[in-house]
Amino acid sequence: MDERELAARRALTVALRTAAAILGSREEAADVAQDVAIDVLRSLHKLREPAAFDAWVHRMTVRRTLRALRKRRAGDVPFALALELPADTPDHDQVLATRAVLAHAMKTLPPRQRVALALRYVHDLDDEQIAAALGCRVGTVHALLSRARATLRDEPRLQELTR
Amino acid sequence: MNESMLRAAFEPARTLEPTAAELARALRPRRRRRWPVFLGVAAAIAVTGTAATAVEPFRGALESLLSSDAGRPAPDAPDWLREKGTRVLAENDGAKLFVRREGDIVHVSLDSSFGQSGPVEDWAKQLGDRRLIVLGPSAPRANDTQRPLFGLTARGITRVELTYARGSSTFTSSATGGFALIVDLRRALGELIGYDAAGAVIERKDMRPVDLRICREVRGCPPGKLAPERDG
Repeated sequence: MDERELAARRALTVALRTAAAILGSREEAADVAQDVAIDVLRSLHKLREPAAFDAWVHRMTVRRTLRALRKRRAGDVPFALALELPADTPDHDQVLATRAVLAHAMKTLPPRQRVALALRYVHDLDDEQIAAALGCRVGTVHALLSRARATLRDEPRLQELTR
Repeated sequence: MNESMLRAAFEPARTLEPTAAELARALRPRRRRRWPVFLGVAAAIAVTGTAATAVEPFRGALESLLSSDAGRPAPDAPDWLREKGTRVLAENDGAKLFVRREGDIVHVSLDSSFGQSGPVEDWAKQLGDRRLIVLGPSAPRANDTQRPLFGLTARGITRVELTYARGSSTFTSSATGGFALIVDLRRALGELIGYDAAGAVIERKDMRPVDLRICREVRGCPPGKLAPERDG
């Protein structure tokens, strides 16, 4: 596997996961990931610090995903990311139910709050890394995450499930 | 809503991987548009032509995967993977399993609540590896005593049976491509069994670890009961 293929694979994976968590659709996420991977391959020669690759991809993904969200008509895409779980998964049923309810609740969040949640819980990024991807200050990330969690906490069906 | 629950809720996105076709598409050489706008039409024609020919090998590979002439377990690829548009794959007492194909992407949704989307070749591969796939339940009904359970079946399976630890089983009348079973939540589950038209067992799935009751995480909700038992 050459450098281009490695870069494309990594960019596709990172972008696909982030965009899917934000958009709730693998199909739409795959479009975003394609655009990101193409941008990455076009500009790979400009990347001076290989360690910064993921951060670079996150920035592109956030920009492209926010653009995809703006283009989307309100309510025209279902948020559907439930997957089959092995039968012996602990809390099998509750995990599936939580995913379904969370998916609906995510639709009510403003785009930047969705992005902050996705980067935290999909890629385990810290506040500083999320701030770099969003192009904002660390304090803003604190506020985005805290507002997003508060909205989810207030979702009645999630309260029932987590009681 | 705690951190671990949020993490678990995002788990589907954490495990997504690009397909080989997506990687190939990203690596396909592209030309930058360097010409003025008046050459735009000519450039568009050239790019479209290149894309159309480049897509052919992928389409060819997909068609051969789904074709009955292929060496892969193509006979297991169900008809609904080939058909465009939306259809109800399975229905039982109002519970419906929907399938929608748009281009090369297939969406499966359970009772209009939630579901899964993925490229056709991924579904074909899943159904080549396993002949009986449990997708999950939808919302409980009948005072939480019943719950629809949905799944997919590979070609060859025409009927699905769900056995319980005790008592009679639940059957689907037909399970061509998928199934919708109404599960009795008052009884512990046994096995999910897929049969062919001749009544031979094609695949079995152990359902004993699965508990679809809503109350199961509540303290004092014993096996077989639908609500916690209160002292006094």
